[in-house]
Amino acid sequence: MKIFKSALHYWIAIVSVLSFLAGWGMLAHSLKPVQAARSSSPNTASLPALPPIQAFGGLGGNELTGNNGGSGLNLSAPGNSPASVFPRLRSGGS
Amino acid sequence: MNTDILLAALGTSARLAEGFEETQRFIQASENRFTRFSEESELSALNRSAGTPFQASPDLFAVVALAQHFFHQTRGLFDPSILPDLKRVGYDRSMDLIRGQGAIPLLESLLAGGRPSFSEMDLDEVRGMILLPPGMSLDLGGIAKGWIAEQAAILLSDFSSACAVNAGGDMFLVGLPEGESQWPVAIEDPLQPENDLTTIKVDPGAVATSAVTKRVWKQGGKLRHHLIDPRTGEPAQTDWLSVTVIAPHAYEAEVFAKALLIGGPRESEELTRNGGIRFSYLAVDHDRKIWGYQNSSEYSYVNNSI
Repeated sequence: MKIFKSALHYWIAIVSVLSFLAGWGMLAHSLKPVQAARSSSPNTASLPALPPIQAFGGLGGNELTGNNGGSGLNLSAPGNSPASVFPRLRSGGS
Repeated sequence: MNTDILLAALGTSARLAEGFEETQRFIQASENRFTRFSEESELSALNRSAGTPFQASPDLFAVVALAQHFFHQTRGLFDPSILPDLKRVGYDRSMDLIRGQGAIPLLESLLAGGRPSFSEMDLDEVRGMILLPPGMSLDLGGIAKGWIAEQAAILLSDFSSACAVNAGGDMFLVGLPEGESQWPVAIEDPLQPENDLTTIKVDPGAVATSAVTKRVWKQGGKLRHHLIDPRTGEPAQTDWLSVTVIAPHAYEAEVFAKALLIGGPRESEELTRNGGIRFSYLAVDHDRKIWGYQNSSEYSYVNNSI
């Protein structure tokens, strides 16, 4: 019985050492994790507090026509009856 | 003010003709009052009066008082007293003249001195007097444009059931187009102004956009734009190319669009928290990516075509 216990201790010790070495070897030869690319762009680096807003589907048949181009004061021409279509409104700064 | 203004209204032809005429007269009178490019304007007279009290018209006093209010509310990111800096970097004449003749040389601009703080300006509300400290001059371009658009729309609404006034992208909307529950407003692509980046739908109220890609010129080989960062006195280095604000009033939409564009993401949280008004914004970055802040369901996207 004593011999069996000693043999078991030796066997566990040897298997543990071999398992440890095998694990080390596997990790040492495995692929390295890819480092996250660090963005140097100031445009997006500091925006975590502002989640992008989702865009919805197309405008479909509701799109208005017309334009607000040209120079000076542009007036939409009033018709004889109430107008039903407004010029297209655009905002882009000036 | 070098701005195209669009008036659009729904109503009968006789009433609309009258309304357009009256609104056009108001806009012209306001242009004459607020432009800094004419020595005859009331604003130019105010700027010449620096150091002595100036008796202002109710309209000029109202806009200067609003400017003072928003200067404090934006913690100085909106500052109409940057005019000396704006001139120093070359925007000393109308944009058409600068593009035709070129800006003042860079060397000359480096010799210019400092300027007093806008907080040193005094307003006497009882007598309608404005006291600019010596050396101060104001550029009310943006906030005046918003104020004019809103006043003009209110005036035009007396003659129509629904109307819109769009002053170079700063617009005020009254009522609703026939059959619509909201106004569709296209947001210009700041990198390709001929294209729309997206379209939003908004309730009656105001929309204004500020962009660093619109009024651009060269000074001694350096690319300049009209949006001065009051903290540096130089054209702002911005993380965003344009900011569109949806707000109840056109002047506040214009002010916060400018302040958000200058302050960028770092200041945006503070501005939206302490702005004291309910507004939403869309910001477009250098990759045309849209960032935004929604504090309500005031608007939604209806189209996105890059």
